[in-house]
Amino acid sequence: MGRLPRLRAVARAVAGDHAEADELVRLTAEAARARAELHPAEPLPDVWLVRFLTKAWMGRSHGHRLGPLQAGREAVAAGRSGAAQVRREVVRLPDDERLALALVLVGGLSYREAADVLELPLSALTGRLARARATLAAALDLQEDAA
Amino acid sequence: MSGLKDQALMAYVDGELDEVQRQGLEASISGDPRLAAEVERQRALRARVQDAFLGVDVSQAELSALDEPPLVLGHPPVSARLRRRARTFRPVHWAAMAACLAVGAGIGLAAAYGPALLDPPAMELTPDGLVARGALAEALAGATAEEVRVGDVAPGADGAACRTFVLPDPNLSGLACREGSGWAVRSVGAGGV
Repeated sequence: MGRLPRLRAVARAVAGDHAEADELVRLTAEAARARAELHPAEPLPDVWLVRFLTKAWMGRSHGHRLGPLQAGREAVAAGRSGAAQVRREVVRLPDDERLALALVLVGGLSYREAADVLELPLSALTGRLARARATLAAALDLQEDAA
Repeated sequence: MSGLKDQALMAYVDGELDEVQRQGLEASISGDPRLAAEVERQRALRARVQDAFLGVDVSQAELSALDEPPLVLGHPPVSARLRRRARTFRPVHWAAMAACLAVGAGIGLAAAYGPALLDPPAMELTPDGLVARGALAEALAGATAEEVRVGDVAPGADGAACRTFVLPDPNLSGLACREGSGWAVRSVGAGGV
C-alpha cells in the first residue's frame, strides 16, 4: 500500500470525518514538502508523517467533528456494510483510545513509536489500545461468551 | 479485556512480542483452546479495523458517494469490476462513466466533476489509475500554461518526481507523480491551495 493512501486512512481513523481527514492530509503533505525542500537528503519516515498528522489534529479545535448530517449518513451506510459499522464504532471511541488504535492498527506504528507520538508511557498506550479493542469487540459482537 | 494475559495476547497479535515471549505464548496457546479462541478473536478484530480503514470495498465507495468527493484516487486499489469497466471507456465518455461509477462504485470525484472535465479532459481514468491528460499533462511536463498552476518537483514516497497542481475550472487541486511516460494523479480534491 502506498504512503498517501495509508496516511489518508490514518487521518480518517484519527479525525472520524472525511473533510477533517482531508484537511489533515493536506497539511501533512505541505509540511512534508517543506521538510523535503529544507533537507532534501534526509529520508521521510512514515512515523514522521503520522506524528505530524496526529499533532496537527490534536492542535486543532474539534468542534465540527462529525455533524448530525454526516453521522446520519454513516448510520445509513452502516446498515449495509460491516466495514462502515467498524468505522462508525471507531469514531465513537473516546479520543485517546481512538488515537492509540489509529496509530497502531491503521498507521502500522510500533507500540513504542505510538507512545512516543502521543507522549505517553508504554503502559498507558497499551491500556488504551486494550480498552479500545474491548469496546469494539463488544459493539461488533466479537465478545467472548459470558464465562 | 484489561488483564495481563489479555495485554499479552494483544501484543502477540500486534507482533510486539520478542522471540522468547512469542514462543512461550505460542506454547501456552497450543495447549489451551480457550486461549487459542481468544487469539483468533483478537486477530479478527484487528483485521476488521484494518480492512475498514485500509481496504477499499464497495461499501466504502458507497459511503464516499454520499459524502464529499474523496481526495485520493490514484493508489488505492480499484476494484476489479471498476478496472474492467474503466478499460472500455474513453475520455469523451466521462459523463457516462461518472454515472456508472456513481451507481457501481461511487467514486465521488467522477460523479461530481466528470462532466465538468469533459472539454478538454484534464484526467483520464485508466486501468492503471487516474492519469493526467491535455493541458494538465503538458503543464506537469514543464510547459507554461495559463490555466494550470503547478508546484515545484519534489520526490514522492517511492522516489518518483511529484508536483502539486491547481486547476481553475472546475476548481481542483492535487498531486501528480511521474509514472512511465505520463503523470499519475495520486490525489485530487475540490478547491485550490
